[in-house]
Amino acid sequence: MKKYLLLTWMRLRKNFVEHKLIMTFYCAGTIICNRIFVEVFSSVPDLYEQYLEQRTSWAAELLLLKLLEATLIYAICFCGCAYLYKCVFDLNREQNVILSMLGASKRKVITICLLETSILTISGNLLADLSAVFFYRLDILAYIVILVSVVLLSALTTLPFFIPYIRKPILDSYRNFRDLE
Amino acid sequence: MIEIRDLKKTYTIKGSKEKVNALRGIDITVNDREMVAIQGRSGAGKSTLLNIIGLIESYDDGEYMLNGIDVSTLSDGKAAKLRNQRIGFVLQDYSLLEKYNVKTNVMLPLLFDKLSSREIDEKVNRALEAVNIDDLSHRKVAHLSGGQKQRVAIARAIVNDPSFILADEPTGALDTKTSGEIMELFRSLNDEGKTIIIITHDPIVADQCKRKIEISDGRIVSPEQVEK
Ligand SMILES: Nc1ncnc2c1ncn2[C@@H]1O[C@H](COP(=O)(O)OP(=O)(O)O)[C@@H](O)[C@H]1O
Ligand SMILES: [Mg+2]
Repeated sequence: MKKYLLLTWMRLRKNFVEHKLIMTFYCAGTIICNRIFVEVFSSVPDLYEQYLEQRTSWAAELLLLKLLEATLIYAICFCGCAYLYKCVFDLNREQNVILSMLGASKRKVITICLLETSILTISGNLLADLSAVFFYRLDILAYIVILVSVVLLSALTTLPFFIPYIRKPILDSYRNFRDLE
Repeated sequence: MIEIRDLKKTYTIKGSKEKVNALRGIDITVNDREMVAIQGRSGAGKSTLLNIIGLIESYDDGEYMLNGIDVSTLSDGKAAKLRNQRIGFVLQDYSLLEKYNVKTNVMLPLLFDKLSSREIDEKVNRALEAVNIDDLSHRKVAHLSGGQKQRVAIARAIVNDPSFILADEPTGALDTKTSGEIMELFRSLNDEGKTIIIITHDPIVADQCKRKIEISDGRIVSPEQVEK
């Protein structure tokens, strides 16, 4: 594990030095995605309570609309993040191919990639949400709730990033990668 | 030991139904401690064969036994482990991480094993000494010459003390003098007991190997194999 972290750290540092723009976009993109998601969803509990109290079709419609809106926004963010992730993946493609040639199994390469994106997304989101905590002067319980939701949301937004890896076995791209040269 | 029987590989070209028969039934046995040259025209199937031998590509038909293990039964993880511990690659374009320093590049294969940092340092230093570039250890690869880069690649290939070294046109991008130096390295590695397979266009390089195999159009055509 220590060595994965070492490799991930080296890679993160290099990527930040060499590709500032993409990496900044990536971090900013995931943070914005999470913020929007939280903002949109924050009114759902109220709407649900309203529905429980009134039991009117109007309240139900409102709740449904809100959920639809949140889903739509999440879907858009999902695509945006997946695209940004593809950019990060492309930065690492050469390295991934070389690593698998040197004896990293698919699982190990994926672990390194996931570590990298998780560190990026989780740390970015933690920063964003912690600043919200200070900004709104929340109490400790709200703080804990936010922390938990940050981890959950980070996991959710990291999810789309699995997809390119699962679809694209690393060694299969070996030849195509070499032939591009 | 490498034992290959009637090995076939077909590529399907993306976007069309066209098929390329890259290998049409290859038989080769490479014994331990051999040094073999594979020759042939461009497109003959040399790289495909080497990639299959190195467990990078799969094959469609035939049999491949590596040290007595039937390669077709290996899982991805097991194949990766074999690649890591038993096989070292040296390629024409070096395939190094250009933005990293020499030491990091040579260290990479060791990161997939359970070694302490001290063991890693020792192994890296030994590999760098073996190819005479221990003084370059902290230099960035991008700043090195072609010959130096190829030495880094060889150090990386031998750092895990593999039994096989597979080289795909390792001197293709080098001038004659540097190419001679690199071949000398391969020969001394072979003297130390490593099995070496080198793909080459260069007859001078091939002459330094103990056995030559020629491939044409996915088949072996060298006299040696025809005699059998
Ligand atoms: N990924 C691929 N997709 C389709 N055809 C390929 C692919 N890789 C190699 N080939 C074809 O297989 C044949 C053998 O290629 P290769 O083994 O690279 O030859 P060599 O190394 O002898 O020049 C060539 O006709 C090449 O075009
Ligand atoms: Mg080739």
